[in-house]
Amino acid sequence: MKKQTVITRREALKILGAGAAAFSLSSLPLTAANGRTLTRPIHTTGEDIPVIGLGTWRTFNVGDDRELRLARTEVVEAFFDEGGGMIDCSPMYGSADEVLGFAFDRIGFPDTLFSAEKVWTRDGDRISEQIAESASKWGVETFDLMQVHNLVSWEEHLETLLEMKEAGEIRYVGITTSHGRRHDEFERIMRRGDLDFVQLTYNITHREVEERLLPAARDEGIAVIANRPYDGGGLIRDLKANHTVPEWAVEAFGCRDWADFLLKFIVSHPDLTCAIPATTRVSHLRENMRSGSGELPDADMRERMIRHIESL
Amino acid sequence: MIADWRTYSVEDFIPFTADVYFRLIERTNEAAWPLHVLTLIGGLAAAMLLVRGGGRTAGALLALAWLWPGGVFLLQRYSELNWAGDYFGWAFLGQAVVVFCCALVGRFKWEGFRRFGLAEWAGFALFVYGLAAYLFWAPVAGGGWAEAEVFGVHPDPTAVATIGFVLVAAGRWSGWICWVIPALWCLVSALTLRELDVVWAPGLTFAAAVGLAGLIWKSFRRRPRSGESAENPTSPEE
Ligand SMILES: NC(=O)c1ccc[n+]([C@@H]2O[C@H](COP(=O)([O-])OP(=O)(O)OC[C@H]3O[C@@H](n4cnc5c(N)ncnc54)[C@H](OP(=O)(O)O)[C@@H]3O)[C@@H](O)[C@H]2O)c1
Repeated sequence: MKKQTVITRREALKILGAGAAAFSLSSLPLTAANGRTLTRPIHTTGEDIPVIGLGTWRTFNVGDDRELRLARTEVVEAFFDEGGGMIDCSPMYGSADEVLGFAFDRIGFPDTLFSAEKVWTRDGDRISEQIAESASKWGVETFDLMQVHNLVSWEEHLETLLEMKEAGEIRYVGITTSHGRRHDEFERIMRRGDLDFVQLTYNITHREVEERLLPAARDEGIAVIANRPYDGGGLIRDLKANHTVPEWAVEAFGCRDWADFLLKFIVSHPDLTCAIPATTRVSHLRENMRSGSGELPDADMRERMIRHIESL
Repeated sequence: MIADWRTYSVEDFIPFTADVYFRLIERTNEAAWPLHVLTLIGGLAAAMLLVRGGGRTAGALLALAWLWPGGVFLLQRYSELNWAGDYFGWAFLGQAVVVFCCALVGRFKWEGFRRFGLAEWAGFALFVYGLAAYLFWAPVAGGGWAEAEVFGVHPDPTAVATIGFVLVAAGRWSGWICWVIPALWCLVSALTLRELDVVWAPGLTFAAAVGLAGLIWKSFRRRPRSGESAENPTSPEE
């Protein structure tokens, strides 16, 4: 889905002034592309994407329910209104692909859309068919990023996806995992050196990937998408219901709310490219998107944030 | 790989949220109305026919009650949300065939309240729960009548009432084969509803477990059914 007019890193830096945009913590520069939205470059091309994307697991699977489809359309609209980029989906998410298609049908395809889809089939011969089905559901011709979902039949699929990338049929290739599964194998695939993206679980309570996978991503120049940023939702719901954001976080980086606290913790990791919280609500979406702008915590502050959450 | 499986939880297999699930129930109600009236009358008629010695017709009516939940609710609607919905839908249609076959060969019989043991009373209670009481869960929990689940329209009450019917009326092996699919569905649905924080989820696990306990109880109880030795009816039922 190449409908990008994303401002390149260099252009964005020109707009803002490099000093204001670079964060000492980051191994990759963070850029405020439109003066608000922070972006990070994809290593293999330098193309910038906003640090907060949108997930669709569970939240966008509403079947043919028109009322709910219209409600999700509002979420997508608000996402782009707030400067959103990446939307992540999968054939495994029931009707979510079609629901996205329904939304784009109504709001059109925003220039900043970065379409991230997955292949999810054990049958190596079905991959082209599945990608075509997904594309027709979204209403796009091609996808920006195509990922092998949970490493299902990854040997066969990666080969095909790399050929498709070579032929210009997709722009980036990646693999996904979650919940800390199959990290050894995941790292081995990352070390082959032919991936543009990986997607894995990273949040303030699940940081296993800091040990091997994030360093591997840095070494190999792979962009990293953090899934389950709220640990599936329970984390932020519990914090919102029972705790208030600590004053020191407000002072240190202007932390507004728990969404800000949790998402900024993630995207301030120097090896992270973006986080993809999922939501059914426009109010939550806007809250999440606001975390993709403003100041980020530094390394000391990140340590303090971890200790704080562990103490609750 | 084994360690890998331990990282999975029920949540990973429930691909929709509670509001979507209840909207599905609601929209099914809109589409099915007034089928509800027919299925409820059908359920009552099945009970009355059974009591009057019409086990075959009663069983056939029960088999019919599995068609809409399987063929429409699961295969056409639920499967849009969950890829496993197709398998569940076919299992429901399979259950209709199983119940129908058991009815056809005269496996459902009324033995009279006097011959009721613990298993039969439990079955009677489950049948009433599935057919009548289940209706009231959603309205009582604040979802309104629009979200009410009805025997013969939605899978859960259909499965619960069937387990009850089977405990009351089925013979030994026919009891077991008619119990499997409703019990498995009750477990699947109980896990789903628990994940969606639905208060009546435990009732489904309970129904499957009561069915299991009742069938075991009946298997060990040495009481031949009237007019037959074990599973061999000596005379036609109707
Ligand atoms: N293997 C894989 O490839 C894989 C695995 C897991 C996830 N993913 C991707 O990653 C995405 C994110 O993960 P996830 O959906 O599992 O979990 P998540 O994003 O950590 O949590 C989603 C939940 O958080 C709630 N939420 C979102 N914003 C909120 C806010 N501001 N305040 C309060 N609650 C909020 C949502 O509820 P509301 O609707 O009420 O806002 C939703 O229930 C997925 O959607 C999917 O695209 C991929």
